Amino acid sequence: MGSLKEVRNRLVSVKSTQQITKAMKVVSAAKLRKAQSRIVQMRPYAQKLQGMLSQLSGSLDGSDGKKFYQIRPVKKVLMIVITSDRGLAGSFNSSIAKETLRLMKEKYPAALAAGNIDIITVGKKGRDFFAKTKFTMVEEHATLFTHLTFEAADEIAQRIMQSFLDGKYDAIDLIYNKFKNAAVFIPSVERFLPIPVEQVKPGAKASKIDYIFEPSQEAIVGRLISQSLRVNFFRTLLESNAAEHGARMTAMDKATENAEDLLRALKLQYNKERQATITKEILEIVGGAQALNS
Amino acid sequence: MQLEILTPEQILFSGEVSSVKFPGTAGQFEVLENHAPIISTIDAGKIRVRNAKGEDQYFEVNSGFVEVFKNKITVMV
Repeated sequence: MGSLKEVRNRLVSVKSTQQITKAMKVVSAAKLRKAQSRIVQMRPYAQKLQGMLSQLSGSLDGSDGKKFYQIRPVKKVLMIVITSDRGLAGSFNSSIAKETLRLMKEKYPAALAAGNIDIITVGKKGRDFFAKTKFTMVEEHATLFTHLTFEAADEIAQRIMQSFLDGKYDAIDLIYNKFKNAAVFIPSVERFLPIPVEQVKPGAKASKIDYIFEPSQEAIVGRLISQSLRVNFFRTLLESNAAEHGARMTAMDKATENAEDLLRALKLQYNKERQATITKEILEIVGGAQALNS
Repeated sequence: MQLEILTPEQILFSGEVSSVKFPGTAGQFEVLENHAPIISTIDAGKIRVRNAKGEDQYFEVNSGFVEVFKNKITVMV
């Protein structure tokens, strides 16, 4: 019986696929834990930076940092699209691609029509997607996530900030998956430059301590703002990284479950076929024996 | 006094110290017990951390910030 063997083969192949998805789930869970702890580890730094900045927000106007707030008419746009290097993570990458295209149409129709939107991709999947489109990819970073360090991220961030200061781009947006929990990520858009104004709260004056400022308040603020932008870029990458592993873990969990369902159905089919074969064989033997007797 | 050296990736140092010397932007400076509150930027160089026993420990930095407030020093590099 051909079909009996076919069913058995399918059973074996589904089982081995299930083993793979199960293993991938476990690996993703471990990676997710690591990625999450990196986000947590960065928190004290970010908080301290924010605290210092609020101490000094009064002297922002005279400082170097002011130019990061400069709002210009938007002619040229840069989008930093953060995806993952590997697939099998559910809708992780496709939702980013979709979000990016939607954003272009809704937020920057003029720049889109004039072909004034450039793209920087982080992650292989984003590169592969946008390589097929008409947009100019000024930079692509395909292996950043294999070994994600602050230095590597910082280098990119500084280049991006310089291109804003040089007037190459009037608006720079980050598109990435925000990490909510292991099962949920939110495709998000964040304005990177110019810095949205609501981020500085001049009204919320922290308890004024009589600090000595060296070399000067303005110089410190300028550097603080630049540093907080760079840290923010790094945080975005960390979040996307955690979200990626969470998405893959969920996707692999679903796949393992689906394989289980499939296995159950196949097993039932297999047993039915087997029973049918046996019944048929008995009938043949009995029929043969009766033919001899009569 | 208490010293904490933070980077975006980890806490590099955290503990009790007796003096710390920084490569400040406006020149090298040393922080001892009961230093006045200060916020300063630091440039490339070495931070020298001295503990109560007089033992030194060095940290190489490229740039960063120091805040001293009530015998608590926070360094961000």
